[in-house]
Amino acid sequence: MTSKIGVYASNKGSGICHQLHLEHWGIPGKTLIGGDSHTVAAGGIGMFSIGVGGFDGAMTMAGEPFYFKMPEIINVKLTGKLNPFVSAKNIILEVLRRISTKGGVGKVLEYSGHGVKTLNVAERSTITNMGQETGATTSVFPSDENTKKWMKAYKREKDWVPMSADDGAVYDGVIEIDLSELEPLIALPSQPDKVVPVKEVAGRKIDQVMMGSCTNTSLHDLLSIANILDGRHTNKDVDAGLYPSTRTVIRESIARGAYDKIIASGVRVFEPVCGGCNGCGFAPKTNGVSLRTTPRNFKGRSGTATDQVYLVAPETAAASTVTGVITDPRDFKISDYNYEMPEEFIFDSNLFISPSDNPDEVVITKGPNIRPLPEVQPLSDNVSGEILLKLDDNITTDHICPAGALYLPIRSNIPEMSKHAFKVVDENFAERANKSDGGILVAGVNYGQGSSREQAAILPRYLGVKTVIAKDFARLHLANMVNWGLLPLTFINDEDYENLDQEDLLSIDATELVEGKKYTVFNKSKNIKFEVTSPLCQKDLAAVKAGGTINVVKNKLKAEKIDNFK
Amino acid sequence: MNKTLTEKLISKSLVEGEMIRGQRIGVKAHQTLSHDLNGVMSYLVLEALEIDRVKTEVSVHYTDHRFRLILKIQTIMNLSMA
Repeated sequence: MTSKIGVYASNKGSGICHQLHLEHWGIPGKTLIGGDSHTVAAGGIGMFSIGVGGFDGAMTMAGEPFYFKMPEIINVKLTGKLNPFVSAKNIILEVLRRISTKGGVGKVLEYSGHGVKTLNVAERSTITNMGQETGATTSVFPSDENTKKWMKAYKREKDWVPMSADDGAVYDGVIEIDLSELEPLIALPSQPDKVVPVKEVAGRKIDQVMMGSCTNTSLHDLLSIANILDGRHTNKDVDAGLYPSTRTVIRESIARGAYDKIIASGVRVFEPVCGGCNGCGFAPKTNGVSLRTTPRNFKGRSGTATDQVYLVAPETAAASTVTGVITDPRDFKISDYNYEMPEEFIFDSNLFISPSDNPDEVVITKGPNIRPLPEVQPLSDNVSGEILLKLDDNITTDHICPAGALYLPIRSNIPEMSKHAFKVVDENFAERANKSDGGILVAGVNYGQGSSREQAAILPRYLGVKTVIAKDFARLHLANMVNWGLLPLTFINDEDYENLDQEDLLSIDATELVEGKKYTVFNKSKNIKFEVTSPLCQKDLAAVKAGGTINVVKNKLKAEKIDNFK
Repeated sequence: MNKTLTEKLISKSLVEGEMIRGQRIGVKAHQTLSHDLNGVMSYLVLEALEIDRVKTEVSVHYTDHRFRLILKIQTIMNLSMA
């Protein structure tokens, strides 16, 4: 499909998206929107980059704007220079220590100061990548001589432009960090902001070390790891693994003998994929202590529910691999090495597949578990039907669209997946919904909490549910309901929830959907009335009426096509 | 007025709204990135929209996540057994 619609596709084995994008596509001054939260890594090359969900990703590819609130801008001023064995990862750990995992919400972290000049693009990207864990909209670094050097090394110097703040620019806050005062830091289980100096927890026994991931495997990181592991062995009680970032980094490391040093030490080497970081392999043992250079250590993310994951810089990870306990790399008493970025990286012409020059000839094939999305009809003027389910508080997206091994492979097959909607609450829901020809769901507070998965809105709508009446909704899920034309309504008086029962027949006049308007719901079964309203703004209500944002955009694009034809 | 780097970057892609803190703004992506896990939904949406060509300067799709889906399933099974 990528080939047909003009999208470049990476070859399997080329590497992890964020580092590959930095190497081959990122351009200072441009805006990048990506369907992955760590898209913000591109801030390291002076891009404005935001991570979004699959639906918004499609909208931006279709040329639609991405909407968000203009953030506050926090200036992170870096002064001084990092000491040996204290690498860039420790800078973002320090930021997290200071502002926590909520401190960046609604903000952009904008780096400046003389300290910036001491960091290459890959180091900056380690910082912007993990900046995601502060909750920030994004993080940005200026584009300067170091950025130019990076792009030149990838034969892209012509795309370089300088970018920086004006003198006297006004910020909403300032964070000052003296790099020369930083020491090796570590995030304790199971939040990236539980940061303390490594020396405070040094000596704690570990079971596993995972080096690599999108945050921490530039050539610089690999050479630093090899420098520490050179001539040493992994501890007998430690299972150590490396997930390199890109094929170019692997080839450069091989050319310099670094790969051999790492493998010779006993570290297992995986292919350049996200792998262990998001629980796809290399899960620690039960109750296992794992030291990782990844950006996240949320409980269970490693693939083991009882994991104890610590986040560190590559130097701390490598030193601990040898000793078998958490180790401050400065205690290793080995000479530091000075990384000099190559003038030119090894050029690899087989990393990407260009889109077809003859898109009409490209035939798209799909596996059995990827089915086209169902078409959603506009919302009828009279929304009526029986209450198919009366749900409690805090219904999660896992209740609506079950997760787990049995369901993951069919998630992109809506007709098949719909058979399992609300299965954990009511085994026969899908069957009843199918028979009822349109129904209504009633729920308590916080309906739709949990993941941003679109399917949690698509499945009920596919099964004919037109509206969910709840005490309130989870914010992310509301957006998905708008995208897929499912009308969210909230009780004016929460007590009315008590008067409703499964199988009651309700009727609502939805001819005119107006922001803030109260709608009367008639309960035909009990011959009583109650009032509801919708939390949506006028624009979103119009989208629901049309059968979701997907229909709004579809109609708009059709109209544009007809205009062009004229 | 003296601008921050962030304001300069946003102004290059701003298509709706004003850069006033807290106000809703719309930006147009020059580039997009997708991958094999979350991207499936993106491409199904593009198909439903009958898009025949993406409207960006560069869009890149990466295969780096579900490459190891089988392992992921095994991982989840281990989880549920733990």
